[in-house]
Amino acid sequence: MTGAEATSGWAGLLAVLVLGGVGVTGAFAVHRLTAVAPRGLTAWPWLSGWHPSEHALSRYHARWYPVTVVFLAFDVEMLFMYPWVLVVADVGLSAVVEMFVFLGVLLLGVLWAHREGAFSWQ
Amino acid sequence: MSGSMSMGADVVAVLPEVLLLVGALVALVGGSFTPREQQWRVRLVAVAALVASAVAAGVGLVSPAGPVFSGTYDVDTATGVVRLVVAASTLLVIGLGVEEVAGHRQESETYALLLLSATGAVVLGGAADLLVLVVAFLLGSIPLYALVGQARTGPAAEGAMKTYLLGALLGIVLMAGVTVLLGVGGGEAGYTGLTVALAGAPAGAVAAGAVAVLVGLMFKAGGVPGHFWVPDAAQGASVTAAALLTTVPKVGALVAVFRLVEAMPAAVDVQLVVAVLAVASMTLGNLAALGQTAVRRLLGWSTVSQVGYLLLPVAVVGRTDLAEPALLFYLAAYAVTNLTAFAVVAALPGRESLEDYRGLARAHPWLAGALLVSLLGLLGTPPTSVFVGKLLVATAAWDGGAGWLAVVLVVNTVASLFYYVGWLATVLRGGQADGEYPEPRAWAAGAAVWGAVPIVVLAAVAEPAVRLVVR
Repeated sequence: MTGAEATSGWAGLLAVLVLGGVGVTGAFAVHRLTAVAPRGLTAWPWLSGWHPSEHALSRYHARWYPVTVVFLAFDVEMLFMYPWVLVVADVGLSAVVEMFVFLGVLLLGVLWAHREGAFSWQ
Repeated sequence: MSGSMSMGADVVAVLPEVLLLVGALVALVGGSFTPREQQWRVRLVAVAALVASAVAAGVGLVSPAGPVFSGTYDVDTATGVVRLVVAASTLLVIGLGVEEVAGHRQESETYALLLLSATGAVVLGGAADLLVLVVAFLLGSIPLYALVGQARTGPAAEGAMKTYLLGALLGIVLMAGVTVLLGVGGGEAGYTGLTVALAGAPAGAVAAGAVAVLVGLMFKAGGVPGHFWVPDAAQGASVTAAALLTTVPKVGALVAVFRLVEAMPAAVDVQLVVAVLAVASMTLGNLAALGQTAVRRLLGWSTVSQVGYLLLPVAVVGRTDLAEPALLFYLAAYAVTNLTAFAVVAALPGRESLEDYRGLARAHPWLAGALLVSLLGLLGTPPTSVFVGKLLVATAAWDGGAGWLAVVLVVNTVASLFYYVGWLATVLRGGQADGEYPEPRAWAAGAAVWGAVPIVVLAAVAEPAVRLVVR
């Protein structure tokens, strides 16, 4: 590579950066000038976009915690079924037996949680 | 059809693990339907599951089934020894914890958690596949968090928090390492295929992945750099949980480290990393134990140093035939010795500091005798089995061309003399009136005295036991 080629390479890069900068700034300026609500709609990253009506550190009842844990414990196990459905037809009976043994173990956990009163709201 | 038939044979080959899992489930659900004052039935279920698992493990040890479940799980001599040691250790833990756990609000859950933790440790030791390793890590770790936090005291909460945070962090490190190894190995997860698949992979990536998996397993083993939780959990948790978590997870984790190092290609010197971790563990554990005045914290740091000794044979994997028998024998000897020390602590509830043991030899000579045997055992003096274990690992290190490790082991053993003998001196010293000692807890004292027997007996049968593995 000669010196002239290297210089032209840097000049090209600089041109791209300047052009990109002018383009982005121009698009932003056009947007601010023409938009109906230029600052956009404010959506907080919680409550699924609803306006929060309480402080982020406000207290809520402890019974939500067991509900969350129970939900996570049994919902995350569903992940094992996604790869399973792709191979169950090929592997056959043994895969069905394995999955239902797994689900049976999980159901015993549900039974225990029910006996311990994890599902009663009071 | 042939698939389901071979699966049936595979399930029979892992019968000890199945029995532990079924025992845990029966204890969990059965305990929920059993009145509070009848919970001893759940303990019987747990004991029955452990005894049945040990018997099945013994039968399996006579004729090892070899690789099962498409080579993802290896039922060899090492797995057989892990099954036996874990089942016997968990039985001893239940024995020393009878009085402490009986009548507890979550008695049946405790037994279920003990069994699940034992299942995780066994599967960790038998896993011959990176993905099975990850599942076994989770199965063994999550019951531990609950066991540590069960005591519901301030120190227990602190111990549970430290255990949980470090377990979550190092679990992620382990999974990241597994991901890297899967990536550079072309998706090969089984250890037999991995050695070949990684031979052509970039050495830097293999080393990074292997070290990450190794560091993750160090959390379960309780060695540097995953040792941070051990002293706090050993001191804060119930004695039952403390005895389990300083013994059972190590058995599975160290055999898992052995298998991992064995599977790595020769181009990457994982053995050197293990040697560095071994030196760090034994030195840090011993130095930290020197200044301790709380007995359980002292025992916690002492287990960190023992992990260092146990890593010695792993640091010479593939360089000497002695590595595997040395590791397995030391594991068995360490498990029974450490549990005996914890059984003495469990027999004398509320005695947390070294000074509380003053005059124990006069008040309860049997308990003091069990403590003497277990502490001399942890130190590694003849005629105890850990002495034979230390001799074996030092010989293995020397034989494998890492003589400097054997020297570090001897220096560290001399350093450990001070705190083990310091405790014993307090026990033998007079001063406390006989009447000040209450009656010790009967089951825990029994566990201590009966635990002291195999500490000596194992040393006597060391030679045939080692030959069994070497054959």
